[in-house]
Amino acid sequence: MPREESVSSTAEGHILSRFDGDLGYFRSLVLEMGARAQSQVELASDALASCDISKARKVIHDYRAIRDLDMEAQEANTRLFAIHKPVARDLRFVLTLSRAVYDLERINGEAVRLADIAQGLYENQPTVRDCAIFEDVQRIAVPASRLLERSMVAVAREDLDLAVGVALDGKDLENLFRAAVRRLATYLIEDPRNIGWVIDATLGIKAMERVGDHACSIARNLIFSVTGKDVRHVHTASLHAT
Amino acid sequence: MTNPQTVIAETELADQVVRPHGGAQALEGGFQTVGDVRVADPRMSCTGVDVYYADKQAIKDVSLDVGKNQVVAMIGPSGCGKSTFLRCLNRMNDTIDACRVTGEIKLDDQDIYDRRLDVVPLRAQVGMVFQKPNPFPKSIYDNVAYGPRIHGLVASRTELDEVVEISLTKAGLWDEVKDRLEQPGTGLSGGQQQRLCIARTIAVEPEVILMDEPCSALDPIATAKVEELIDELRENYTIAIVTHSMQQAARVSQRTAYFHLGKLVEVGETTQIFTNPRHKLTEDYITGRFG
Repeated sequence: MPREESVSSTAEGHILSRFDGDLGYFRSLVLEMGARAQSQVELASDALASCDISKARKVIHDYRAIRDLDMEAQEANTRLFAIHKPVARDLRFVLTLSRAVYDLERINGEAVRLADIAQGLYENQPTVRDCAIFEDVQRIAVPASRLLERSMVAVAREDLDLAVGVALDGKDLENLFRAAVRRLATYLIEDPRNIGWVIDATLGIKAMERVGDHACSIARNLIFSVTGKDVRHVHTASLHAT
Repeated sequence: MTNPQTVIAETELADQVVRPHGGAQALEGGFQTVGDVRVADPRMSCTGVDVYYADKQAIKDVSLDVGKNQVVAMIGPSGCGKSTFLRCLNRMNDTIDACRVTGEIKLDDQDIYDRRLDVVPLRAQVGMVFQKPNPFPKSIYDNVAYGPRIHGLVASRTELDEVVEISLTKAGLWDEVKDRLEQPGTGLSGGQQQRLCIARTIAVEPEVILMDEPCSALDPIATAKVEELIDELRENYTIAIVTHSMQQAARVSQRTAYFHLGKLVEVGETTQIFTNPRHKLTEDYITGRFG
């Protein structure tokens, strides 16, 4: 039987409609966290690229909104376990949402880390405005944000194919990160006085690479939710094998 | 991009998604139980069991092992045949005139439906605890002593006293009743009565204990005590339990069997059944989607 026909969604109604309501509420909180986390990543990256300190400050300020959503989602998660005691695909989906909450909270933290870097740079070193050292941050932030968006769509639709795609494409981000590290090293070779900026840029690209990692983690957890197979520690290279 | 289907196959995900679709129609034709019906060390072994009530077939070609020192939980919607199947395991269905059982059910290597077999000792070997506590209208002591007396398992009053004490202790009731053994068993609370019935069952040294919804008439505390008892009894006995409580099945059993319309749809390790059932009917039932 084709697999896609055999996979069903948790959105199929329970006899107890209150379970659907509570699960739907938890899911909506996670999706809202995802949308906000993506905005945070894009805004932080934009703050660095456009030398806009106000955007960096907004990211740091909005950290609390996602933290509050995190608390609310944890409460919804606890309530689901305490009252409905989910099993089977419901259990796997609730676990996936729960792990996604953790990943999204961390993504928010990475966005704030990048915003901190931007704020520190433009408050203290206005001359950095023309520096090309930070181009790689944007180069990694864009695909990382895209991975996050796709992983959240995969969660919203419980879309296995999309989740597998995200898990596979995470490898591309790793390659981008390695290339960026090599490129940043050349700035140090050219002029050791670049060291401060190179450290900031390295921390920035690392933060964006972590965003991509968390997005892949969300996707891998969704694969578990749909199939029951835990692929969190399956190496991407083995996913590529044909 | 690599085809996700290929990725799934490569990562051995494919074997996790054997979920035949549909409702009752999925059980027609060449239906086969999902999961391994056999275990390495069976105490009871059932093969191709059919049960009919007159013309109506209640159990359809069920094969299932009950492993030694294991608790097997049988779950399924009302009327699916799980209690009927349980009652086959000690020939309780013989008491129903219109009931006919075919197939093979073995206790160790003995066919329990062998015509030469005496069902009285069989029912001592395969004891049963029912949904509603049913103590005899006798003293607590006599309730437990009744079985050993009629089966001639004891030679003296002292020996009988020992059996009564050991049975009540195993049933977790001794400390609560040791000072009032002569009082009527019917005077105990519901949970105590059910544990008294369990003591009465184990007093005749059974090999297998069948339990048909043993906690459905009990409050949560009494239920917890009986569940704790089931876990302790597993060390010495093999237990098959029918329950409507998913959580109870998950808590007390090592294997779970899901019945639907007289067929054994799926059987497997309890953890697997409750985290990743392979048949959609099982999943829809345990997640509360069964319509």
